Amino acid sequence: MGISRDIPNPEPEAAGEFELLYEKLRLPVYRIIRGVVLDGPAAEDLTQKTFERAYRRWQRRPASESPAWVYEIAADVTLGHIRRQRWARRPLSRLLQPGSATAAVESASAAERALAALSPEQRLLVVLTFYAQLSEPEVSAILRASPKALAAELERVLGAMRDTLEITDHGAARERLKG
Amino acid sequence: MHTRRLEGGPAEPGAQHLPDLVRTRLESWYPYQLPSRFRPARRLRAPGLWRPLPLVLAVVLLALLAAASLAGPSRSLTDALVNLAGIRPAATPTAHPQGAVPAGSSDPITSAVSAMEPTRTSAAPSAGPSQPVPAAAGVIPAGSTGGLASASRTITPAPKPRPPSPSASRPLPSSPPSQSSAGRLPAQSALPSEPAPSVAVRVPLSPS
Repeated sequence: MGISRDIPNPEPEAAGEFELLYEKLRLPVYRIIRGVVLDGPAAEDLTQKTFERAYRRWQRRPASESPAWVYEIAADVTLGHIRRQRWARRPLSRLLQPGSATAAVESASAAERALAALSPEQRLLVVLTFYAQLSEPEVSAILRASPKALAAELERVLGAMRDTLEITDHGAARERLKG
Repeated sequence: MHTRRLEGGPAEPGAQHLPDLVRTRLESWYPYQLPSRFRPARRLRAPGLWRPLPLVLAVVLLALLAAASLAGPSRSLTDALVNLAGIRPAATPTAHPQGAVPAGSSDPITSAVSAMEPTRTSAAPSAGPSQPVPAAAGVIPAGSTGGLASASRTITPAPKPRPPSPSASRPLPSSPPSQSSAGRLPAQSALPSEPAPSVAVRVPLSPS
């Protein structure tokens, strides 16, 4: 589905084409956001905010064909939401530290437990890399970091996820990881 | 589709299945209430119109303050400040018997300042315990406030204003008697309050 923007579109046509974009990216954006916040209802709200902001930007200027610009908006919306939550729950900030959310998702899957052991920024790196399968420059642009630093960070993140699964998972996940 | 250098392969052998694990888990997530069709929220126009209102109000207020400061202190403002300070302009006529205050001045500021001066100057040359009492009586407006305040003051110092009046007439000889009497005309309303008994004595004297 080619979405090329050369000139600003009139309002109804722009809304119609944006609706196509929404149908295409609705689920990926929701899953990326949920992979960072690890909360379904909050991810739905943030997905709505993401597309509201994306629609305003769509109206202002042409967008590229790649969905990375929508993912970038989703990353900004999600990290901003997490920052506001940190400030709102300042006395409970220790509960939001990486690793402490593992107990809250004790009944979750192995992937969720591994993600919960990471910081939100690390989760975003994992989700954009493994799920959205963005290219290295796109991930670097979204996370505002150099590709070299991102590669090193990804190695650390994978090691932390593996350690988390080894510690918490007593079943099939350990078998898979060590097999 | 895209190059995936970051995912190129975890160095640690135990983490090789993590990308698939994460991808599989994320693809199993579906939203419950997220609408399938995008409906852009309508933005209200009114906030856009009212947004610059505080700025406009601040600019207008600053312009008013600047205009007021350029025009200088107004008369009513000075009067209000003088009244707020508790200095009464009506104290001017009572300071006249001391001879230090021009009675014709109607400016509230000068009258207020001159009302303050007799209390300082009269205390200095006159010695004795009886001097502060006429000074205090001079500050209180005698003519405008009616007879109650002046009557309460004239009970005790009634004999005492007599001795200061000659001493207060020392600066007066510099001016002709006619001018001094003309200058006292506005202040004569204060005279009946202080030397009330003496007026009663003078009345039989003048026809004779």
